Amino acid sequence: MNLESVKQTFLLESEELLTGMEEYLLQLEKDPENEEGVNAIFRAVHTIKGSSGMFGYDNIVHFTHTLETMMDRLRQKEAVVTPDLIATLLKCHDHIETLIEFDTTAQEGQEVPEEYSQRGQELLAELSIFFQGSQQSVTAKKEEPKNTAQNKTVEPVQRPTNGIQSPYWHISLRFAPSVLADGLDPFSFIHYLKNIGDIKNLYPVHDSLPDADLFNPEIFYLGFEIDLDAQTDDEQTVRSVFEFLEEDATIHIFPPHSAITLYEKVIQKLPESRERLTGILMEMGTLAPSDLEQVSSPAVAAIAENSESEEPEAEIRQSTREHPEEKKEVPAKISGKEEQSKKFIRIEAAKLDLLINLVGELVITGANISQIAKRENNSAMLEAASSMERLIEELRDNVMNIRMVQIGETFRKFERTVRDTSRDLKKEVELLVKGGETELDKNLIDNINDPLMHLIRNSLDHGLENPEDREAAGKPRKGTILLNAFHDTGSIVIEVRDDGKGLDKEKILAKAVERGLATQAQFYSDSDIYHFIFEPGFSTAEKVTNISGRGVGMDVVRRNIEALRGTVDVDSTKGKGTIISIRLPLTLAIIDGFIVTVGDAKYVIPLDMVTEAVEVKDIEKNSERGGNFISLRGELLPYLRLNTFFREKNMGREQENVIVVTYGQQKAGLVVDDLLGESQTVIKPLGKIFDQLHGISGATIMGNGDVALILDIPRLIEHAINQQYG
Amino acid sequence: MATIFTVNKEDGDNIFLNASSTLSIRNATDAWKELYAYWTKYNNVAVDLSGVEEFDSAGFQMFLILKREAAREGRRFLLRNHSEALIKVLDIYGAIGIFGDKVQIAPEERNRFYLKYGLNRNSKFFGAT
Amino acid sequence: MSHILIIDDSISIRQVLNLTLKGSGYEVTEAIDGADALEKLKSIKCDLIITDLNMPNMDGITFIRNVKDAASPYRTIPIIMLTTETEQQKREEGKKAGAKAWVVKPFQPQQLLAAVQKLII
Repeated sequence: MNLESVKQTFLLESEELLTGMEEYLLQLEKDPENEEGVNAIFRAVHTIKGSSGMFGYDNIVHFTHTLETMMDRLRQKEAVVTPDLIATLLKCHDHIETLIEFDTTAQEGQEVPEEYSQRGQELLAELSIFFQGSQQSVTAKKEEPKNTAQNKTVEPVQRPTNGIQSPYWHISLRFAPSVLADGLDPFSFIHYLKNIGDIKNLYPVHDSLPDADLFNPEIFYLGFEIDLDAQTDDEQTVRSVFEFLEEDATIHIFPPHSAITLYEKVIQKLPESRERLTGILMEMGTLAPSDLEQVSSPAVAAIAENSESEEPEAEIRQSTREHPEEKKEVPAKISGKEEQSKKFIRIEAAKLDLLINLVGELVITGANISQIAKRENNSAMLEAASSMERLIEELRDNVMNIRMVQIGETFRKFERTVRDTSRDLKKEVELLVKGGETELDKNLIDNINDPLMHLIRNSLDHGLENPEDREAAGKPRKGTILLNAFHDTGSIVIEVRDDGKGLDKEKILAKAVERGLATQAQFYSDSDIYHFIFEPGFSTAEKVTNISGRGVGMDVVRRNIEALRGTVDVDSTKGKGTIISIRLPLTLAIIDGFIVTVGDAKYVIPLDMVTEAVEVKDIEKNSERGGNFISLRGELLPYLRLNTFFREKNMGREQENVIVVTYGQQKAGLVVDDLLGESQTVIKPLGKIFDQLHGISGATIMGNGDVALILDIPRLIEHAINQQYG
Repeated sequence: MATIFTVNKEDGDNIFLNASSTLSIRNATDAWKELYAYWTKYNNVAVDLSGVEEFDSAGFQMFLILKREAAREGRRFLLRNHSEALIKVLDIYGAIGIFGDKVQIAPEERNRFYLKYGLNRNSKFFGAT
Repeated sequence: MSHILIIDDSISIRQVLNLTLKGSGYEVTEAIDGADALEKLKSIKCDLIITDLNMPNMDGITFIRNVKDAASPYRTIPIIMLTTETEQQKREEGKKAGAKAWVVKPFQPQQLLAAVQKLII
């Protein structure tokens, strides 16, 4: 038996069920009161839904789910069986047949045709008409019994101001006496904790264990205090381990560094004395003496006292045995899957893009209103405009945040590539991933996939050596590729690191000279030499393999990344490995900008790249070493006159404004005319004809309708530095 | 009623028992009945656990209560030749030290257990109550 | 090796369950409904039961009540119910009858295995 043969079974079984369903439907037409018929139809739909889900046939699940709900309501006699209803159900039957046929023959990854889902929706809409008479709507029924809130409120997560020192989660468990007899073994739940972390300490609390002559071996008397080093910061993940125990145990979960007051509160509720419990927790190392000292501070003591007076001693003593009762009043527990669907909704990317465009327009309109208010000099309106601007800013940040996606998923997809490619190349390679939780714009993620894939393949092919060569070089046989992502001052850095042989400087330089990109005479820094690999058609690979080194070169990688307003850098140590770092802007659509004028035109500098603005007199005279450097507090700073660069007219001022901008490790000063201040800026991409425009990365529309160009700071810094040498 | 503990050796005040393959909630009532009978009859009881395949919280609790009585009354309740199923439970429950018996684990099998906490606990563990 | 009894009237669901569980090293016995399961229980040393609720002949709830009866020799065997979102009420009935765990259909193999691992070692 394998999955393929089980799929065949599924196909045969569904055929059988569908045939049965058809027969019952036809019977039902003749005999609308036939309850057994309705039951059998419900069961057929139910079974098909259940098994399709296990094969991942989500479209069938989706359709049959609603159908099943309706059939259930038909069982409850919420609708009358009419020939029209039968006709619609027969159409639904046919639709299931179509879906099954498609799913069991579709190629992997093949999209479900749009017309199918449309047809499904039409049918369900048609069907829902028959149920409109009844009170309950399908959705209302679904919503009602859920309450995620219950889980959350059991243990309110107070972000502690007086958190304890222990970095671990703490779990306190007390059980209903019947837990063992109910078939639940506390041990297997605790054992399961291994799946989400490392148990650091566990203390079996045996105070309720009676004397041996009174001991009933089917009753469970123990409790547990557990310290867990969990690989999660989501309380729900920890809580869900004990999901099935909720009625048979009192569970208290403390996230790392929970407030000592939270412990105090729970300690009071537990059956053991405060002295005993603090003793246990101190022995375990959960609580440190310094944690408890906090409690003796007047403020905390007051809190503790307060909750004491709320719950008199007698009530505190009501322990485990009472809790299950309390919980029974609470509506049905929700399964993990349902909860997840509550936490996440899928939305079409296009809808989000539209929303972002609208927010963009709103930003522009908001700026416009502010300007009008300023012009009118109406103070009430100015105030309203400024608070509106604040709200828009918040709205913008929130909307942009929706588009932020963790990069981990993308990283993980490369595991397959690495596995397959390294096998083809007969190399041993391990892919490590760091910073998978780093978030970046969804559009960026989509566009970064290909360049990353190319870089990884390059590392696999050219960077990492054969196991034999590695061994000979005194390295482990297995090479590693590390994908690392992190935030760095307004940008995101993604690194592809390998511990391979590194780049061969001499070879690259020789090749560059051969291709006329460099001259023998000139001195090149390491970084300059490495950068040659990004030149079109540049490859030092001795033999072309089908993994990399054919056609698509590093120049394409660089172009792709530059198209995202990013940069790419190389660092390498011979024999040790290579690091390629990609630096990308946080987002693509809206930024905080700093507006300056150069001549008659307005330009926008992304605010997160601005370090400071300084006034400098007689720049040229002050320039050091006769070059384009200004001295800023003793530091030599290359600078660029934007009016020269953009051929704008020179205002000829004595005192000039210099904006100091930073990108990655590099810094430069940009000489501008006037500083107009900060403003939110919606980036409008420039058309293709502007591709060759140097120093500009986009355009934006200002509040007054003027167009301003957004400066491409990385390129301008590069230019400022280069003009010094070249 | 199937016999769960069989006598290996009897020596005056002491009795040596062999445990059968299951010591769990499945047979807890019977197991306790047998074991407690030996406990009341002999001063010291030792149990060989090498044959135990199924062991759970119910089995653990049974042993814990006798360990406590032994500590309080100055008698001995000894566990020997722990099977893997047993070590697994004692290990996670932090009870290897509390029980104080010699537990033998082959070095190559150590990584299957935590063996991190509770090893320094001893029979004083019962003292608090 | 733990022994799991799976009960479902759908053969493909049984096969998927069987495949998943065997793949994780469990021994598996299949039954097609509650009555069949009670019969099968007599001949195996069962550690865990996974049962559908909606079945012809003897349905899941009746089966659970039988297993969890105070006089039943199987009453301490843990039970996982396979339920659907539409069966909230049934699931509650099952819990009252003594089946404390559940997995909502449709589910991924890992979800089922997680539930299994919480109940048996």
